[in-house]
Amino acid sequence: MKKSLAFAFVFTVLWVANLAAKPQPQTAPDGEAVYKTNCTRCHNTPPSMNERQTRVVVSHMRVRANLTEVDAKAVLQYLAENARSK
Amino acid sequence: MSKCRRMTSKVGFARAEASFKTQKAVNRICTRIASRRAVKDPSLPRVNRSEGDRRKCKSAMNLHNQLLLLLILLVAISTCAQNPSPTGTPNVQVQEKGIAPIPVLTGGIALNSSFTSNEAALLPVVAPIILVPLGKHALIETEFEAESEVIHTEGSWQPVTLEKGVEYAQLDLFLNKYMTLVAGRYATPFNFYKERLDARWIRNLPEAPLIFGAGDNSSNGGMLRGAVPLGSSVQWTYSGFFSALTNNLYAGSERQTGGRTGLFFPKPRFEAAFSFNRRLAPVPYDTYGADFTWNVRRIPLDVRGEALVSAAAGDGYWVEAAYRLSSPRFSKFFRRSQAVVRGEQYFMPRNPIETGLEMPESDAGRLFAGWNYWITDNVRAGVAFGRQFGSSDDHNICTLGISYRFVR
Repeated sequence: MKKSLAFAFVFTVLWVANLAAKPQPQTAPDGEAVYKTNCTRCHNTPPSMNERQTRVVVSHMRVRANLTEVDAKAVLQYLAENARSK
Repeated sequence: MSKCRRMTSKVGFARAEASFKTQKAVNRICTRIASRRAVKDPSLPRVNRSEGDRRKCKSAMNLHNQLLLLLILLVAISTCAQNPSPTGTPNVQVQEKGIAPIPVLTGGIALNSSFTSNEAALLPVVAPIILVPLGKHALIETEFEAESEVIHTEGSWQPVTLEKGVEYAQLDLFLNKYMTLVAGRYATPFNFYKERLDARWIRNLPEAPLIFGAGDNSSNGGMLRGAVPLGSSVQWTYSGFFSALTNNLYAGSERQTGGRTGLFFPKPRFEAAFSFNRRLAPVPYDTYGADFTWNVRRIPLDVRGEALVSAAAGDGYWVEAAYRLSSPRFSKFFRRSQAVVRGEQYFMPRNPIETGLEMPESDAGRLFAGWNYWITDNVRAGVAFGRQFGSSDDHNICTLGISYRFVR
């Protein structure tokens, strides 16, 4: 049981590392769509933040909400544009 | 001036010469094309051509074809660039801006009150969060929570208690696009309430679910977590951890291992996950959990639920629906409101053992209906009314609360 669990863990880590090594698609996802898909599942209103704060808070939420790097960057871009326009 | 005229005349002459040469070349190509056609068409008189002429003709045709192909490509690219991509995502690359991140102080303050037939309680909570970025690939995050209980029961005030502790103090290392290594003290990933909804300014009802005690703990150790897209319509989310036993008043933890794995479907915004937790000491036991969230796209309705199965901690579930009255047909006052309903049940274990978890002391069921109102984007007031059905007694619960979220 322990061996099979360990094997499954190592396999998963290697598989994810292999996936991450593959080249990224050229097009980035739409930030607003990613924000509405992921962030509004728990947050009703976006907080008022400047661009620097946004960058850190998005990193925090990347861990908390299990976002991929691509999705986190798309959300960051969307929130940063919003912060600049305010 | 005369020098300038001379230059102009020179340039004009050069242009005329180039034009003449171009015309000549075009005529030559046309003649060759005509001769080629003549070869193919037997009705036309045959033209004798040398091997060199044939080669020149072939290269001219190749040039013509290449130019035509280039033109088609340019038109196609410019057309594609103007049209949206078929997936609806713009062809914009995410760019890393040269803005250095800074430490951030965030968190929330809440004041909740709870009233039953024989007890009134005031529950102020302060939960500051500090986020310190370490370059692009690491982050230190910590949350400290202090919660006080001011209780008035049986005609007298009880001694005020203050519970305080470190919810998490962790180092996040972004190993790659889909995996993060977490080291230190972190919220134990069991179901989703602890990680995502526990914050007072996020949870829809002030009272936590009855089964929340099974997952309301933090672990000291390491964790791997992340999300992997499995195609365009589904993401696999995972977190696996190991925790060491720590005897500390403010940052204690149990020796345990486990994780949470689930599938998230972005289009319907539906996630279903399974959690497992094995307590290794002092008394080993297993706990299983399942959870789902469905954030309906057509209407602003969120449906969430969790289930718990454990021989030591008991069994139970809760289901919650929250409807945001954001439709334009509602008045401005109601558009800042949210209606919440939750139903839940908890069943005691048949052979209870000392787990140290804060679980109900008897079988219980509860129904809650609540109303939240955002005074500003960061300040929310809420009221909820519920009835608890227990094996020992039934009673009503009324809660009032206000929460403030800040980012500095």
